[in-house]
Amino acid sequence: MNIIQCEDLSKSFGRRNALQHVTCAIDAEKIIGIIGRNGAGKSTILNIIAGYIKPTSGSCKVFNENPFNNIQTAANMIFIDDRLSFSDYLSLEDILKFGADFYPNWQSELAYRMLDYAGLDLTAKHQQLSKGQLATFNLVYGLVSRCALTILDEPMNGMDEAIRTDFYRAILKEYLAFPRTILITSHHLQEMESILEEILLIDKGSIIAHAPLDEFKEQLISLSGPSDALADLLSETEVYAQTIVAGMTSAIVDTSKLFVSEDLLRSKGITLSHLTASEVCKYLTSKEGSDIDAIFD
Amino acid sequence: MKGGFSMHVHLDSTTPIYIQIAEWLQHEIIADRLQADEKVYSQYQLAELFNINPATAGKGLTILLDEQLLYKKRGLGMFVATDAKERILTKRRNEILTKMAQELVLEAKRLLVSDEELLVLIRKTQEGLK
Repeated sequence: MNIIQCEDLSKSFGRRNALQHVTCAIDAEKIIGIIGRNGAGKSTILNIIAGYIKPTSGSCKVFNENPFNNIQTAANMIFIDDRLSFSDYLSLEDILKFGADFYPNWQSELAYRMLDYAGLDLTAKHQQLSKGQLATFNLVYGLVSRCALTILDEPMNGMDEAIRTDFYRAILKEYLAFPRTILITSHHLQEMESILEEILLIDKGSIIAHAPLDEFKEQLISLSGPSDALADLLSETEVYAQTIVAGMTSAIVDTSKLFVSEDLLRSKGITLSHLTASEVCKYLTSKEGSDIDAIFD
Repeated sequence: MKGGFSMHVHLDSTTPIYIQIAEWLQHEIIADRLQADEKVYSQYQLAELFNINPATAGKGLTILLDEQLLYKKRGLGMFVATDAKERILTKRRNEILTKMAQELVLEAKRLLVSDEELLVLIRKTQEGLK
């Protein structure tokens, strides 16, 4: 079942096009990583899905309804980012009590245990928290609300590495206990990729990939070997990046356009290696011919 | 959450995770930690064990199911096929060991090691491991 359906969605702010003709469908009960460089349009699409802003054109349906100013979708959804704010007068404990009143699936006990684990003082005011503590509290709030649609926009910003690892595991365990749709953005794809089912890559306002994580990683492959052995092969496929040093070439190519067997490549002295998900993102989103080496040529 | 996680294998970031899960399960079967007709871990248990998405864990199980190393009992889960261990061993001998032998022979050639010397080396290694 689709929980989110975007059709030809565009959003511009003044003359800047933040999203351009985006069409995508998100299934229920999956953890999906929304990845993109700074300014790619991640937050814009999440804000439209959350119903905070209106698209310039096209449509977005969440639970089959238009989310903009819609109490029905708002009640089944939670949006966590570092701008989430609560009243200055409330302690963390008061905020949790309000959460319990508003969200039907709220897990009070779990909230207390997680905040205790993270060493947060429940009598503290939200405003007094450090950046990392704020992120921790907001994430706990997002998880224990157990909303059918949970949007986590850079939830680990400002947290130290040890606690980030713990909380990625907390997200997974909470998801296993109570499956729901979780959209999560992060600059640290490497640390969260194992808990993702799918990845949605946004670049310059367009979705350029949406696939299960393993398929996504297998799209590109790295070849390296003697330049003359590789030259013919590279002319027939799409090359995303290439470096030549002392007669040896290494290149990142499109796997689907490579029609030779691994054995044949090996016999020519060419080695194949897989890429990590974040490397695939980097190559799919880099400008043509953009390469740090080129600066030094 | 505290200390609640012990990883059995190191997951590397380039080999697809579901393949690593399938390999880990085969190792468990070879080592008799999962025996014939014993129930295997569910995708949710594997997810928690390896800190991975349950869909990915499910793909790893599907590989073994497709090779009929596991079988399904409706509503009860997946179980180790009676001849799973034997079939994994045969397959590994045929595929992996043969490939390693080829590589060994090729490398020996490159290093100008004679056939005689290579056999002596293998025998010595075997004795060293006894």
